[in-house]
Amino acid sequence: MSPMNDDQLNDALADLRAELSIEPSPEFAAKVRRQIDAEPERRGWNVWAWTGVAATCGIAVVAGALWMRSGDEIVVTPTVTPSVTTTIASTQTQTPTPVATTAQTTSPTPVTSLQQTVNAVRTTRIATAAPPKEKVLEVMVPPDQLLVIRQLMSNVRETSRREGPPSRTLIDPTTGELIPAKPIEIPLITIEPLPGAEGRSGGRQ
Amino acid sequence: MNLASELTGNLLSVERDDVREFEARLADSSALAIRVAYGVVRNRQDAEDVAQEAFARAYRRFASLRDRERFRGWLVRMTWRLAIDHIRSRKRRQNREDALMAITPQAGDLTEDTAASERTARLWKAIDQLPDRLRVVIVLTSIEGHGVKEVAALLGAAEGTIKSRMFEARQKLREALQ
Repeated sequence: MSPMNDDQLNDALADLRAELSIEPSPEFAAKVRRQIDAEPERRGWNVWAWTGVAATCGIAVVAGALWMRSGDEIVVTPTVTPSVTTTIASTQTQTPTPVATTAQTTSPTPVTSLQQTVNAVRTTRIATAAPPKEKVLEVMVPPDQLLVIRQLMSNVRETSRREGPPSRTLIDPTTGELIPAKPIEIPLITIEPLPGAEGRSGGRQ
Repeated sequence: MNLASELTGNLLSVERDDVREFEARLADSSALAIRVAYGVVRNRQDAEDVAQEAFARAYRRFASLRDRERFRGWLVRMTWRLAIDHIRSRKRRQNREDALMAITPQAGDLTEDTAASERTARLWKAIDQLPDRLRVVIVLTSIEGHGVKEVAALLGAAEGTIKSRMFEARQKLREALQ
């Protein structure tokens, strides 16, 4: 089958042109006007919808900002000891006594097994008690020490901001001006061959 | 006359001007919109529905269309998109192809020459297989004797781009119709 030549294609496109030369029906303009007249209701609904969306976004932003700010605060709790320490301490204090007695009277095997279980309990409790997420930094400080720590931190910040005068060693005592820095002198480095290394090139020929 | 009533009067007069101008555009461009839609949906009633929706959208944005000289281009692109959506949403493509294969000449729609009708049906089928960017060029050049310059203005593209698309489209059509 031969490909269509230009004339045949032009004829086909001319038919296409003829088919596309349709005219709008007489009632077309009236239909458009009717649809446009029915628009205001939809437009009103859109305004309310957009207002609702904007309000929701605003509330979400404010809530997010508040939540972020609350995350930065230092939480001071009167119960100082964290749960991890408590569990380990209780395990350590309770178990040794019976272990020691059984170890003295009977065989050493139960002792090791008991110690193993203690260790196992310890490790599992540590593993379970350790918080998986470290989003909020909690500093456990007694309230009476907190004030002192805050004062110390503010003092440190203030002293770090101060800009002192340049060092006295850089100022000429007679003129009172800054002494220009001397260029650094680096002595020449001479590389001497190692004893007994003469004649070796080190490379493979 | 106080300021508020004067302002309201001005706004109303601006709105009246907009409406008058839109009416003029509607009379001027409705045939173009329907033809563009027909080039995609291939059904007169559907084409009118699509064009009607395009004009309704155009009216909504008419006040904000700064360059009103580009209204026709904007309308053509909007109509084309709506027509494509129309086809996709109703999944009429298959039915249309079937209808084209079993085509019967209608008064005013097709020429009386059966051979020409068959040729046109084959051409439509070939046009449907073209990518969108080529199809729109072929349809627009077949409407109202648009040349490359007019099509470029309607699509907001460079004339060189339209020329190369025309060339590519004709080549693909020739291959499809062989």
